[in-house]
Amino acid sequence: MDTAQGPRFVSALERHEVELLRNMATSVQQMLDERQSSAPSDPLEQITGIRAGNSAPPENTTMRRLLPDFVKDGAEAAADTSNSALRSLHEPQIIDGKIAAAQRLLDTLPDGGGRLELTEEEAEAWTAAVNDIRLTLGTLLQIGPDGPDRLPSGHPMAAHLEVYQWLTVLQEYLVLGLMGKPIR
Amino acid sequence: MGASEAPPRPGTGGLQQTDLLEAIDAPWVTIVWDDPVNLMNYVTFVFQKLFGYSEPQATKLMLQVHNEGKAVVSSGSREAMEVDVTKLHGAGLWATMQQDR
Repeated sequence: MDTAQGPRFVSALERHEVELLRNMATSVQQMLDERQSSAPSDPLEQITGIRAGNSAPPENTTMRRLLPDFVKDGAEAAADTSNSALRSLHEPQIIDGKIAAAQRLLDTLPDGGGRLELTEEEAEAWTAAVNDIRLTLGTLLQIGPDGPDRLPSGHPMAAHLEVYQWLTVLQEYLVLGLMGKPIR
Repeated sequence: MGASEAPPRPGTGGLQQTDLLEAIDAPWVTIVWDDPVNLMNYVTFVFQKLFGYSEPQATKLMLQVHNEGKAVVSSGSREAMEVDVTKLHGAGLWATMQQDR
């Protein structure tokens, strides 16, 4: 699909897939909202217009992957390029962007399932939002370079892994669509 | 695999217009690290989108990340690298910045 005005990405989602995406995107937003509100309030904010975010990294592993460090340990050259300074300065913007991408996804979900039509901009937001959901699930599942690819059906994480794999295919389709490539 | 390519020169290959004097004085680099969750296609797409790399260039960098664990994706002033790292984190990639010594 590469008409200038028309949708960039066309697919279909079942009702339960829509609900799944709605739940997960909302969860990610809630986690990010919580993180944003836990930032210390800055009395100078009204004067400077600079919003200071958290300076310490998140304790939660999932959030830590969504909001990683800016500088590797041992590579901090000066006080103003320390992780805490960079995080405090830039994290609010990163969180805003992620919340916005998730909102874009939520706003374009076909209610009750059905045809999915996305503009290029919406498809881009979807790739970012789906990626954030995959990062969240991936951390939970402890996805590493060698898997897991499969979990026995009784395993407590088996359903999560299935969802993760479905999201992987979805993201793949979205990216291929955006790059104008055929989906084989 | 062949020898790794030199990192992109400041101000080229992307949307960052870096001050040349600043770059000579204190060159910084942005490094993207490998992550098992990020799709290769997605990483390639992000490099194209954020830095204006051509698909072959973006693919080459992505493969470097994938095979070598990391790759330098941009270089320039400290401020420009902050912007790049912030954008990459926004896209869900893990990037860090450091001085290119």
